[in-house]
Parts: sequence; C-alpha cells; structure tokens
Amino acid sequence: MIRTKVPSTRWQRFGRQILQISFRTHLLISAVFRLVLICYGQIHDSRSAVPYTDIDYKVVTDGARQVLAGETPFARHTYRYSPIMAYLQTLNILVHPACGKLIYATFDLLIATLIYHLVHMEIKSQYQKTVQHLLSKFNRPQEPDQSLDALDERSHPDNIARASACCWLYNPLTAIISTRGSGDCFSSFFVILTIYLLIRSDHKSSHKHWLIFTAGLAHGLVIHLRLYPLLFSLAYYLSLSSRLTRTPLDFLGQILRPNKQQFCLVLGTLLSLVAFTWTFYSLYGWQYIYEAYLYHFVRKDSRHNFSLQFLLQYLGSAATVGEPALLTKLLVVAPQFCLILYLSLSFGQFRQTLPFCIFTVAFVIVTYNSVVTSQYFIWYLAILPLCLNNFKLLSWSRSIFLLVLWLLAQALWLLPAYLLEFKTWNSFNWIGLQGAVFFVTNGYILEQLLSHYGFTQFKISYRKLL
Amino acid sequence: MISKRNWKSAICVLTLLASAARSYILQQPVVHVEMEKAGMHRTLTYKVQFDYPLAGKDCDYMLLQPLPAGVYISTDELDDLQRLKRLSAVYPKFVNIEEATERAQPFSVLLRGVPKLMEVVTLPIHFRYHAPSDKRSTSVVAIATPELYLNCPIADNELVDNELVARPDKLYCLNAHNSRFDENIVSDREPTTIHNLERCNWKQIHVDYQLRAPLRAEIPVGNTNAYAPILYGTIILTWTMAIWTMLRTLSSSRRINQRLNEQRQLQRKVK
Repeated sequence: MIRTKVPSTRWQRFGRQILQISFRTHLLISAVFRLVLICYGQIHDSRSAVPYTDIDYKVVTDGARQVLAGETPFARHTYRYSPIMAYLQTLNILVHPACGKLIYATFDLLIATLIYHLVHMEIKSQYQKTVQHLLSKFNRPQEPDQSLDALDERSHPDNIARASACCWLYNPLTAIISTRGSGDCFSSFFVILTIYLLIRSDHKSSHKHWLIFTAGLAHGLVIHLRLYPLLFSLAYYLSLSSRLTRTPLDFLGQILRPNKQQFCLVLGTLLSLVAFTWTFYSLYGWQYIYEAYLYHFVRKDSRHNFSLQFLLQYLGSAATVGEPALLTKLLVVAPQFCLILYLSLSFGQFRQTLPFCIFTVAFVIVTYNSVVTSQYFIWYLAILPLCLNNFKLLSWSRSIFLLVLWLLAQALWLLPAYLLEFKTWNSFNWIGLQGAVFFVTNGYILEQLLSHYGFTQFKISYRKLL
Repeated sequence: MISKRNWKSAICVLTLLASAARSYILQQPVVHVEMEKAGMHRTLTYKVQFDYPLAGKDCDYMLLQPLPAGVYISTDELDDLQRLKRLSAVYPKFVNIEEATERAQPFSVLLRGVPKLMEVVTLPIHFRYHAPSDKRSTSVVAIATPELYLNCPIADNELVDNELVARPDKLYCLNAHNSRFDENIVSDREPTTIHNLERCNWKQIHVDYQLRAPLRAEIPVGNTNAYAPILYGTIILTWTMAIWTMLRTLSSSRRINQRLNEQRQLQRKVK
C-alpha cells in the first residue's frame, strides 16, 4: 500500500511543479527539444539508409528548387501541394536544408501559443458568463464579476491554458512530425487561428467584423493548403448566428439570409480562396488545379491503411467487379456527411462550443475517410488541446481507458498489416476486420467524448461570489 | 650478352604467361543473386566476382536487372542510398509506387561498378499489390537474372576475350534516360566523339549465375467473392455507427444548446 502511494504522490508533485513553470519557459524548453530533434535528424540522415526526414519534405524541397530555377514546382513528380509550401522551403536551397524544419517547428510553437491564449480567453469568458447566469438566479444580474477570485486554483484560466498548451508542446508525435519536415502543423496553425479569431470576435465589440473577415481569410488559405477544412465551414458559419437553429426551416433561413457577421466570414473565405487559386492558376496553369485539387478526388490507392473502406476499395479494384453505382457510392459516403451536419448543428451554433465542434468534425473526417494513415491523426490531435477543459466529466481512469483503447485498436491492426507487408501472408480480410474494429473503437470514443462534454467545467466558490 | 638458351627460356616464360593471362580472361564473371524469402519489401543481393586480369583494370560494369510489372523501386530511397554512397545505379526518374501490377509497366535498373575480385551490391525492391481474384489466393512474380555489360577503355578492349562476350558482333550504348542498353547502330547524324565512343562501347558478357533459390515471390491476392458482403457490411456499419452516435448524444447536445441560448438571452438583457 505504502509503496504504491509514494510514487503517485511524487508524480502528483512532479506534475504540479511542471505546471508551475511559466508558459515562456515551456516554450523555451520545447524549442530546445525541437532543435535537438532537428540536429538529430541531420546526423541520422547522414548515416542511415532509413531517413528521419519525411519524404514529402524532400518532394517540397525539390519543388522549391524548381521554383528558384524559374520553373513550376509541379515539374517535380508527386508534388501535390500548394506552391506556398515550395516557396516556404526555398530557404532549404538558399541557406540550409534544415530551414524548412525550423519554420515548421516555429509554427509548432505558434500553435501552442494560440492554444494558450485561446483556452485562457475561453475559460475567462465562460466563467464571466456563468457567473452572470448564476447571479441572475439570485436576482443580481447587474453585477458582472470581472475578477477570477471565485474560481478554484485548478480551474484558473492560466493553469488550464498552460496545461492545454503543454499537451501540444510535449506531445512527442507532434514534435517528431514537425521536425521530420511535415507541413501539417503549418495548416493546423491556420485552422486554430480561424477558431481563435472567431472566438475573439465574440469578446471584442470593436473591429468585430474585421476579425471575422480575417478569420475568413485564414479559412480560405487553409482550404487552399488542404482541402479537408472546407468541411469546417458550416460550423464556422453557424457559430456566427444570432439565433438558435431548431428546425430545417430555421436552417434554410440561416443559409439563405446570412447576418452581417456571416457575410464577412463568407466574403473573407471566398476572397482568400479565389485569390490564391487564381494567382497560382495564372502562374502554373491547369497542372496546378489538377495536382493540388483534383488529384485528391480521383486518386485510387488501394494499399493497406487504417480505413474501414480499405478492403472494399481493394476488392473493388478487380476488373471483374466493375465501377459501383452512384447510389452505392452515396450510401458509403453519406453517413460521414450526415454526422458532420449533425455535429455542426449540435455543437457549432455557439462560439463557446466551436473548438469542440471542429475537433469532432475533424475526428469524423478522419475516421470515415476512404484512406486513413497515422499522419491524418494530426488533423484532430492539433485541436484536441483546445477541448481538454471540456472533458472534466470524464474520470482519469476512463480517459486512460479510452486512450489505451485507441492505441490497442491500432496495435491490433498493425499485426495483420505486418504479416502482409513483411511475411507475405494473405491477411487482407484480417486487415479489413481490424479496420472495422478501429472504426468501431473510434466511433465509441467519439460517443464517449460527446456524451461527457461540458462547457462550464469549473468549480465556483459561492461564498466568494456572493 | 644473353645467350641463345636464355633467349629461348625467356620466350618460353612469356608464352606461358600470355597463355595464363588468356586463361584468366576466359574465366566467366560469377554473379550470386539472393533475395529474402518473404515480404512485400525485399532486397536483391548480388555478389559479383571477376577474375584477373579484369579485376582491378580500368573498366566499368553494369548489371542490368529487369524488373517485372509486379515490382517497383522507390526512387527516393535509391537517391538516399546513392547520396550515402551505398549504391551506384541508373534507374527511371519516376516510378509510380501506387499503381497496381495490372496497370504498371516493367522496367530495368542498372547497377554500376568496377571489376573487383568480389563486390557486394544490394538493391531494395518492393512488390506491388495484385488485383484480387476469385480463382487464386497468390500470384507468382518471377524476377529474371540480370545481364552483365562491360565497358573497358578502347585501348584495353582486347582484355575481353570474344568467348566471354555474348554477342561479339554487337556493341551497346548506355541509355541512361530509359535505364537500358540500346544496340549501337552507327548513325551518320551522331558525331564520333570520345564521349559517344565510350558510351557505346558496352559489351554484354556471359555470366556464371549462382542462385540459392529461384528469384520468385508469392504475392497474396484478395478474394473478389468477398466484395458483395464487404460492401453491404461497410454500408451497414457506417450507417449504424453514425445513427447510434446521433441517438446517444442528441439529448446532451440539446441540453447544452438550451443552456447556451439562455446565456445568450441573458447577455443581451445585460447589454
């Protein structure tokens, strides 16, 4: 008994000490950690045949080389990204091959800074709204309590914001992905920036419309960089509504008659998306449209992956099976769109629940996607720290159980995948089964997170308040 | 003064040496080829052995490894190996690694080296997925043995005996762009430069191949008969999960929206 108690106390003390460190120090430690990883990557790559650097980093660097030579980056085979990525990595040719990694690692730190400020702002604002709500019940609505005295220490915005940012900063997966030279954190930064600007506009009466317009610009840019954030659009749009949508008629009214804020968002998004697309189309022509946008729709890669649809796609690639009917294709993809619509309507109507809504939509996009690889997990892992405070209804043991379940489902999938790839076993059906297990596991985790979601998860001392 | 007897012995020794050298040249190069037994990602290992006097001479050799449509190489992986000086090879600039066997094309990789007594060369290869079938559960991919080409400086051309050359009447040009050898057809349009002469001075050499096991791989193939059940199963599962998620969380989301709406109304009142 004593033996088990001592380490837990030490761990708790250690955790508390870690959280007492200032956010700037955490940023500094994380920056050093990332620099060490970048240096390690350089040494590793100079010696090992299995490189640390992401293959896409090399492709984009080659694209940058083409740009500097006055050519199109799409002249490099398999270059299927926005030309912006190649422009970012021109420093790889001009200064040092690791410059791009430094840029991505910087965006990693910028994401943490945004997480910190966003969570801080969210909790503070929600606290004030809750206090007002409570005071109104005691018939004292005119006393807006600006101080945070009534909050217990653990719920203090500073502590929660720091803990949320630390979840991103010290996540080895995200640190490794950015220092390997993957540009995912670059696009994730603009997703979080869009959310930040939208929530900020709720708290600032001055320049409100400019903030929303800027959020639209950021959203348009991120759609240009990666197509998937397009599916966040409905939630962003609904979060700016001034009334609750309850019926399909309300919904239709929202879409057809946007308010001023919604109009600013749509205008910003369209302006930015069209501007980037038109600029690069005029520079690089049809090849840009095909490689950066259309290719992702026509791509057929039936090699094994985590997706539930892997086996279906692989078996469907046989010449004897033939192309499925349009209705069949619709039946396969419709549940994903139904869920995205449901989540946008359920959690996207208020800016308080917007980060959680975007997290769940990203989770659904990845889980129901026709191709799922580990790199896709970053799409929702980047937004997860924004919602940590909302999962306080989940006990520690349940949280750990869900995490273990998620990891276990991946490990179970890895076994037949390993047997196929490295032992040439005919384990296609087994991989398909494990893909289904992973899908169901993700579905269960999503249901648990949705059921345990709470937007006012802090303890308020009534004595101090009243 | 060298006596007549000494002259005779000297001529005798020179004749013996010349015949010995000639017999060395007649030794065919030996190439051991091995491949791992399992996996979609394997390595072809070549042990290339030359004998004297070719070994150590200023010649180049190329092992032309034909790869069937069921096999691909990762050009990025080979670029890395070349950068680390673990491989010297000529291969296509782009190989589509996502293509299934049925739509892919065969191609060749040329492994470059200089004749040595023994040299080990490795080439990482990957097997493509095959289209599923209702008749078989595996598909056999056979890899042909490589061809050996030799290029010696024009002055040393006599080092290679005609008996070693597969086609003594033919010379080949290195076509690096398509990673293959083309028969040298003298064209009036091409100027006779040293570069062209060296590029088109390759001879195909007989090789003594030593294989531990045939270069064959059995690649698993999915069963198309399972397509219909998998299709219905996928549709049922995705719809079930989506509907279940909605039903399980509908009340909590309504409650949250209700509370947030109350907050919003209150905010408006306060303002």
